Amino acid sequence: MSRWYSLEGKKIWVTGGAGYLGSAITVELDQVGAQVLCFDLPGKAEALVREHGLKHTVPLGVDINDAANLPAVLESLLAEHGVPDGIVHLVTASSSGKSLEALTADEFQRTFDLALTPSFILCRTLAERMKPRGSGSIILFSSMYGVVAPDKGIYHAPMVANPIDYGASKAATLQLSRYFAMHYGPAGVRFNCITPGPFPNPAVQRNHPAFIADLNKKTVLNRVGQNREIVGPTLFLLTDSASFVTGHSLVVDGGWTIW
Amino acid sequence: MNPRETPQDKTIRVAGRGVAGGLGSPVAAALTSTLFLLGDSASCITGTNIPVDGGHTAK
Repeated sequence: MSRWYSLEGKKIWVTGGAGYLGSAITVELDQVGAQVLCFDLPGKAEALVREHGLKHTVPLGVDINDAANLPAVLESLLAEHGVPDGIVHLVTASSSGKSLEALTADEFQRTFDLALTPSFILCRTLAERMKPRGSGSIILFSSMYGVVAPDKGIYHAPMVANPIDYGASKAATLQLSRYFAMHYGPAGVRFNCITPGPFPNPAVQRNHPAFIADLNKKTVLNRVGQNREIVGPTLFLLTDSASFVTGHSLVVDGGWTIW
Repeated sequence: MNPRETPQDKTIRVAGRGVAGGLGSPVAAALTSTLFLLGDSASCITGTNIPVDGGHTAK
């Protein structure tokens, strides 16, 4: 394999690595020979490793959203596993699930606390440790709803339009990525965002065909994304193929946001 | 990476005034995001741009 694409032997941490998008990324990283730390809720990462027979992946049940304990957790992991070459940080998908009218100020604040503060701590801590080495790639996950507002016309009761706290926190994630890219670029540490479009999980695809049909119509490709389609863009940003790409939002949305 | 997700064995035409050098050269193409966007790895990406600019447009 060309060195431009190779992640063999690279240490990659994946937070939310056993979820719908994360699992596809973790499995592929394992198969290309990366040394993966897969973070998820207790039991989920272990189940993924067992189910797919992953050989290079260490499953970890760590609560990334606990900002108070996160610095100590990260230091412990760094001491045990060393400084990673790349981070895929998916655990920012927090949302109240509430309509604009029903959302309280505390719930709005809670989404920001869960989505942004741990990301800030994780990014700064790990970039500081990558800095002396002069290389590293950190990928955050935003959303099409961090770029555009939801179309209320495709959300029918009892569904509510994608909540304002979710979109606002995803827009802020884009700016986190750009700011970190600016700050750590001179040290050779790259920051980028993946900005996914509609990637409904299999249960939603199975149980809500009318909603899926509406989502399909919102994309140029006239379909929703499948989790395997988030893998290539993620691996691209981790590898040396993207060595001059930083501070970018790579939009993986089937064209949702271009019209 | 799955070979099916790369441009291997695909017929690719490189066109434009810069074909013989600069950003049109195969070497430069390999150095940038060109191969990624050609392959099926980018199957859910359309209508976007990838600045390969070292963060120039991020600040």
